[in-house]
Amino acid sequence: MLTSKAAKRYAKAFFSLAQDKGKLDEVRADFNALAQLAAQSEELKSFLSSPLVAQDKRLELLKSLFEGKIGATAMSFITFLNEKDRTPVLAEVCEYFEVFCNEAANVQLVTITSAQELSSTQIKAIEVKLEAKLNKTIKASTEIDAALLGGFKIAIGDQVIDHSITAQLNSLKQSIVNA
Amino acid sequence: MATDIKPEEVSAILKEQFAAFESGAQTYETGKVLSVGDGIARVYGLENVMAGELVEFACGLQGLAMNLEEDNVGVAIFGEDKQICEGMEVKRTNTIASVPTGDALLGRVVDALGNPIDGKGPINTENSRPIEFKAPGIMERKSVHEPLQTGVKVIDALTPVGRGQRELIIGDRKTGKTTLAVDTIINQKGKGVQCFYVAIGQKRSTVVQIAETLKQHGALEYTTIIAATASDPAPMQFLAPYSGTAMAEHYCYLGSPTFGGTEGVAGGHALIVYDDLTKQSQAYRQLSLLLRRPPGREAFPGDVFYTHSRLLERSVKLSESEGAGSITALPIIETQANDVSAYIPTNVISITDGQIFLESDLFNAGQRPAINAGLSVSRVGGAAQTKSMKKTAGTLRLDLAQYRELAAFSQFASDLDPATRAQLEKGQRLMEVCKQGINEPQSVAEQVCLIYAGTNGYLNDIPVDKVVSYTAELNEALSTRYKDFSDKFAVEVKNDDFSKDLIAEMTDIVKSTTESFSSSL
Ligand SMILES: Nc1ncnc2c1ncn2[C@@H]1O[C@H](COP(=O)(O)OP(=O)(O)OP(=O)(O)O)[C@@H](O)[C@H]1O
Ligand SMILES: [Mg+2]
Repeated sequence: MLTSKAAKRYAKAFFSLAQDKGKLDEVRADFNALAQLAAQSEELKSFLSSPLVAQDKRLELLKSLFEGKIGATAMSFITFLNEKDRTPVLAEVCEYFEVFCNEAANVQLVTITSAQELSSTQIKAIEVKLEAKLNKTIKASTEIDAALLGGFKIAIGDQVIDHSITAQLNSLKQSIVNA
Repeated sequence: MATDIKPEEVSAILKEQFAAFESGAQTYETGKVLSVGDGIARVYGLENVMAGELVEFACGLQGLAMNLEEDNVGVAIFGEDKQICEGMEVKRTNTIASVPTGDALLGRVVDALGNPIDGKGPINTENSRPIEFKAPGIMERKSVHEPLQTGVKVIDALTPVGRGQRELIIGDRKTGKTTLAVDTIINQKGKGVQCFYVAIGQKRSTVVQIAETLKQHGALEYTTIIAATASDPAPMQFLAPYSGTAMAEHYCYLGSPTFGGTEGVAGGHALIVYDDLTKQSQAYRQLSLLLRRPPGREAFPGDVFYTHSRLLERSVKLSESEGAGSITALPIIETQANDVSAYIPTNVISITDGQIFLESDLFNAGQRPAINAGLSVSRVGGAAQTKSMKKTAGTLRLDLAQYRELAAFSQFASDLDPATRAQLEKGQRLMEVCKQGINEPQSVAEQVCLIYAGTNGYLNDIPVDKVVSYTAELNEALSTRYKDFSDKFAVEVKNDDFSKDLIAEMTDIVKSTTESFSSSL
């Protein structure tokens, strides 16, 4: 969940700067890798958010961690965040960055949850339908949830299209109880 | 017994239901719980949620979207927040909170959302109304002109209440506030007024007692009790008055084309008691502080005045073209040490059309109902007072005021001149006349005869401590020996008349009752 207002501001600034410099794709790839790393490593997360580590010490460590592995532009962004003592929101900045990239490219992320694994043709069919409906490029990720019993559920941001058996059983139950 | 119902039939009916049931994909909007505590959930998402919309948590609990902020929504939870955890899904319902309305609610006890809590089964009604409703404008209204008899002598004589009026009952704890309101409800029997008693932040045992009292007097059948008791969550206590008002509006707007009623139908009349708004504002203060709204005076939020003003503005007397329905409100406010200048009391006093001020000193001195006649006023009820009462009680307020002044003064003077003594004696008797027991509302005839006797000196020869039994005897006589007179009186009240013949007859009755009472002493 993205909740930090500061992260959103920084991400927006970085995004337009990267765009101006023509380094959007490079920074995007770097930030995505960073976000993944932060999600996997508890240690990195606690190091980034610990107020006990002094700023210059942290810069040293960040440099030894990332220098050379990521592009110069991304590195300069990280250095800047460190200077402002905003490293705790680094992971979120990366995620927001991705959101802005998608927005600019008119890409909509959706999550398709189903009871059983969907075939790629099925997913494709859903994507095509959604693309026509939303007028956006759809990037779908899938999840499996046996509790749905059958059918599927599509989450487009806050909006949910529920076509699962569980939902239909529930509404049948409601209609009988309230009849 | 149900032996002639066959299993096949059951299956057939169910099959029919299933066949008729059509379920496409459901589209809804969701959010996720960020944090929860103290009955408030902060929800991320719910991008398009409206303020005041009901939302549903995955565990089945409902909530009310109250704060729409840039990055989260503050939701007041209707129930135990323990069942809600971080990350739980929250759905929009796309409906503003509403309650069931209509005749099915009469005689029932419901919670702030209209769910029955009296164990008498579900409420079968198709009608519902949103709990928040904009008060009618100026064009649809008419000034208060019909009386709403409370059955309490002092009130009907000094601070009369009309249909559509908002009369505040204010006083310290245990001064008889609830009793006045309940007596007024009891007195509406057979008068075509539907009553709603909203209990906010009270003990459950008290609510049960009130329901029992109403039942005993046959008043429950036209009354709905809306109870948000002390153990209910703060949002319920905050909402209860609005829910109750929505239920009352059902009757008021029956004949109002502007507000969804049918033209040509007579609008109904409703009486609603908010017991008490002090507790409601405290619940609202709790909610607001937890939602981190800025606190103001006495830590109440800035819009606490508006919560009461928009509620009380919904009490109305509609014009003829709107069906002439009405909602009369009796809000109750509890003061601390008779302090009417605290924040909430001054607010509500300024919104209402008058106040009935109860004092613990009077109550403890045995002067019950403990109404302070000097500080109680009714700003509009005069136009709605019955003619007979207006004529008879004209001098009562003055007499009582003079008595209070003299009584304070005479504590220091050792001997008094005869004129002063006479006035004191009369005042003492009038104070006795004002006394009335609980749950015994009186008809206009009974009230007028007694006050007539008091103000015209027919009680002067009766010892002060015997006035109460004189009252009982007079009432007894009016309902037995002088039944014809009482009936005639009731007819004249209906036509808003007070003929010379009637006055003459009343004088005779009072005179003879006084004579027979004096001789029996
Ligand atoms: N006119 C009356 N004559 C005798 N007793 C009365 C009268 N009015 C009220 N009482 C008694 O006084 C007590 C308190 O009355 P009541 O509950 O109406 O007060 P209240 O102001 O609503 O109290 P609370 O602060 O608890 O809400 C009750 O026991 C009631 O029976
Ligand atoms: Mg009370």
